[in-house]
Amino acid sequence: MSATLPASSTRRAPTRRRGALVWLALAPFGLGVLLFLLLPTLSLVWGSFHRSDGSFTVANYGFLLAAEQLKPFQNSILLSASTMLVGGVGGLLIGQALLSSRSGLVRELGVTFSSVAANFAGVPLAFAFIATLGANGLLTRFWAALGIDLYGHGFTLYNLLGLAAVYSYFQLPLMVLLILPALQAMRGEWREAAENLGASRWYYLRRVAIPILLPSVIASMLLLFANAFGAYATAYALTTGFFPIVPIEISSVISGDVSFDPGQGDVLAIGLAVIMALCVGGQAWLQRRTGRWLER
Amino acid sequence: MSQSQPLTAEATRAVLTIGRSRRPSGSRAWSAVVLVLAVLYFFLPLVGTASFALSTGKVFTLQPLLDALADPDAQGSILLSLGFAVATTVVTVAIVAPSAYLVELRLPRLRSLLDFVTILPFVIPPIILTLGLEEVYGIHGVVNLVGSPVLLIGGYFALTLPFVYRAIDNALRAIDVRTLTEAAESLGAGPIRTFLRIIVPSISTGLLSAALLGFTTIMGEFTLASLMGYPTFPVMLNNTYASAAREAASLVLVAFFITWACVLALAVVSRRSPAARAVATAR
Amino acid sequence: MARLELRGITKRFGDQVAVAGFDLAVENGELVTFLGPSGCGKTTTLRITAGFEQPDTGEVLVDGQDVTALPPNRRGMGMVFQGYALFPNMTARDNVDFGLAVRQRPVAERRRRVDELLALFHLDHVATHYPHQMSGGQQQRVALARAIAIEPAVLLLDEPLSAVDAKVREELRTEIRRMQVQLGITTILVTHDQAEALSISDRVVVMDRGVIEEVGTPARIYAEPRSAFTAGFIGAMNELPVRVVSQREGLVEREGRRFAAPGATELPDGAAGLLLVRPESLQPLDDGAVARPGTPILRGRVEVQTFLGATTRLLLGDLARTDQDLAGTGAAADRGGSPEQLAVDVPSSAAARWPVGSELQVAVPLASTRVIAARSAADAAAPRPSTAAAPAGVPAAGGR
Repeated sequence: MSATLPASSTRRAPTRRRGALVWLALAPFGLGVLLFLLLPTLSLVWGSFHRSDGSFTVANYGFLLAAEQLKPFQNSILLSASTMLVGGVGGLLIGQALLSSRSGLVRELGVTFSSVAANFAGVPLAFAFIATLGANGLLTRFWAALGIDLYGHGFTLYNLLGLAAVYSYFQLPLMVLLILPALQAMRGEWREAAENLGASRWYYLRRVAIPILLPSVIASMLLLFANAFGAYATAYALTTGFFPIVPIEISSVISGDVSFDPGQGDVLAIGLAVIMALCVGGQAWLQRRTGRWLER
Repeated sequence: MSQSQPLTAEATRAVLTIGRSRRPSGSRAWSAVVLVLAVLYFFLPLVGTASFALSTGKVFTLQPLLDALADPDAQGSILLSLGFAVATTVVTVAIVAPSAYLVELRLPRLRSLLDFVTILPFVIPPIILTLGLEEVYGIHGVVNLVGSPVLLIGGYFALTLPFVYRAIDNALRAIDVRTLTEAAESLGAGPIRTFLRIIVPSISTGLLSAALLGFTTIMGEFTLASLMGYPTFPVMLNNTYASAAREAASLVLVAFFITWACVLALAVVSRRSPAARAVATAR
Repeated sequence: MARLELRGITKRFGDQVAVAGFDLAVENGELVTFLGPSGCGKTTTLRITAGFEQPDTGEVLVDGQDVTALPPNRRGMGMVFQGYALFPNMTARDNVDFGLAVRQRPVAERRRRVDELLALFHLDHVATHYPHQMSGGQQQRVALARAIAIEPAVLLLDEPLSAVDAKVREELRTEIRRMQVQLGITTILVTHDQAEALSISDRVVVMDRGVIEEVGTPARIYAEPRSAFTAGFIGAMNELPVRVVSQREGLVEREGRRFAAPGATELPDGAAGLLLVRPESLQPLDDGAVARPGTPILRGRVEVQTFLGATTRLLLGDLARTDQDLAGTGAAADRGGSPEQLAVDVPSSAAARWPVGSELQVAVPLASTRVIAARSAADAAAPRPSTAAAPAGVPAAGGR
């Protein structure tokens, strides 16, 4: 741009120097990203391919497939899949209920509630649930007063089912936040057009609404899956770090647990990252496809 | 969790433009039922916590909360969290804002690289990042930064990068950066003055949103802090529960209200942004 | 093909009256347009006809049968929505086929009919395209084809051309009319674009604030608008305040001069009225030209010239009148200095004769004027040329 300006007293620095200045201004950002994002990631990748003595190996990856390692992955997958479904369906229903409310206040409150609940995950959530559904929790005592002994019947917060119940608390609102834009993009005119052409409500749902919404719903559920898979704090606080899911296994490496080779810990991390990448990638791809559909 | 932060702001903006949609009355009754159930589900754990923390039998008292807040460890950890949250937020926004501006203005080819880099932390959840950070900056790492605030701030920078960048980038895209800059330069302003006096005020609500998002995240961040040994608020909360459950539970309520306050602030900020409104209505 | 009747339709939203006392009969095969500004109730009336709103009072009758209580999916009407509302997950072909699929017609019959319609609308080459892959004009034609596929008794079009480029709009509206005539479907079109309404309708229903102002053929309401609103809304119109002095003789009076004008016989003595005359009806008089005896003449100074394509609109201010007819009274032109303005259309090729600042005399041919009742006391004050859009077919000033 500056090359075409006539010379004048307010002439700016020549392009080359300006270019250098720009790169200089970007340096802090680049440095931050390099030092605290890229380097750790590279370290993980490097570590996964090297033994503790520094020699190259792929045996660490073989370790992933060993029986003991499958258990945490199994648990994580189960946990993530179940909360993905519960959160996905529930969030969809709640989101739809929010949008059909005539009151703008209800909608705004709903979005605010969802944001708060989605951010509430972690230590405070775990303790809130313990206070409610723990052995001495409010609800537990409530049911006991009615004669139903929850824990006596085998219910506990500290197994997979209990974890799933707790995870749902932030998965549901996350789904609401994720699916609202897609629900809003549903134009009332489509339903009216279908009606005008003779369709019943169910026919419209089946042939128009659901096909349009499905990609967004799946994309959002993928994010829900990733969210649950990578969650650490909630599970840790709830089970004091003793439940075999992948994030907790990784944390035990950090805490110096000697049962793992550091390289093997890296492999776990890489495995986790790959799963996250697949979910995020899948979601991005689906969103792009739907985006093209829904634009005018 | 980290994914939900930017959604808060976006969903809030989106809600503002909901049009009228007529529904048959039957489904409205069903919607009301769903919403009532949802509200019950979400308030129960809070009620449970409040009842556990603040009442003994039939008596309701704020004493455990006051005790908890009076405890020097608790105060220390809250202050520590606040300190880190503010420091990281300031550093991150101060670094990201000019960078996003420059890329938007002069290096649009870097845009996709930037998008990728800022998506990374989504793919690398805190637990993985912590492992990596420990390897590079831990006791056996290249540089030993254990205990130094630099480690935590750096780590938090990486963690909050996605949503801080996205909030600022959205704000930048909603204004015509190129024209504004050219107008300023034609009037004789240098790049720094242009940025500080023109661009920053124009995206102020975006910056505020970004700051709030970062702030909430860091106040509640547990993984990195606990595994690297920093006694922040969530870490202290976790430790206290074993010994002083009721005090800890009352602090949980505090944590909840902090989150709530931040989300409300975010909603208010988003609503007032004319750029956000423009973006929302243009959709 | 059917006869549609709307009787006594009223609709309120809260305390806002959207439509009041709407009565209309649309004959077999007629294309009637609801024309009016935003908020006049035209879309609400259309939606009531379709069944998406229930009227507070009144009935909708198709061939004499009351369908008011029927839901939209049982009325047998085809509707084209303002944004087309094509189903984004379906191709053009599937969209057009939708109504037929709902009715579970045999597959072979459906395919034949869809092919027929796609060909009729020149959509063969986009049959397998999705809405986001089609242009606005193509989407609009798919929406039309979809509505017609079910062979509706009545076709309803809600501002079908508003989202389309100006250039394509003209082609499309001609095509809509051609198709409508060919198929003989009773049609209601809603629009705020008077060019559209005037060019393709059999009759136009002018609406304002929920009520019908006038119903008539395009030619009639253009040449002889009966209400002040219509006069101001359709085309550009000069309005000169006058007072009726004799209903029996049809005389009006303005600034001391009297003359006979059409329409005065319908107003009571002493009524405040407006003399309406179109800019194109005024005759500029060159020096030396003489108007027919008895024709009032107005003189003014050209303040603005607006190029409209074939014609140029001159805005005259500083109006005075000379009257060459009333011999003997010898009244010289007096300059009033009042804020009155007059719009005069002249062929653009001649516009250079009257540049800005020059004086111009125009004759007012009384036969082309019309007197109507004034709107309110405010109208009796200053005449003004209406600021409505240029007449049909003329591009707007400045071009877009």
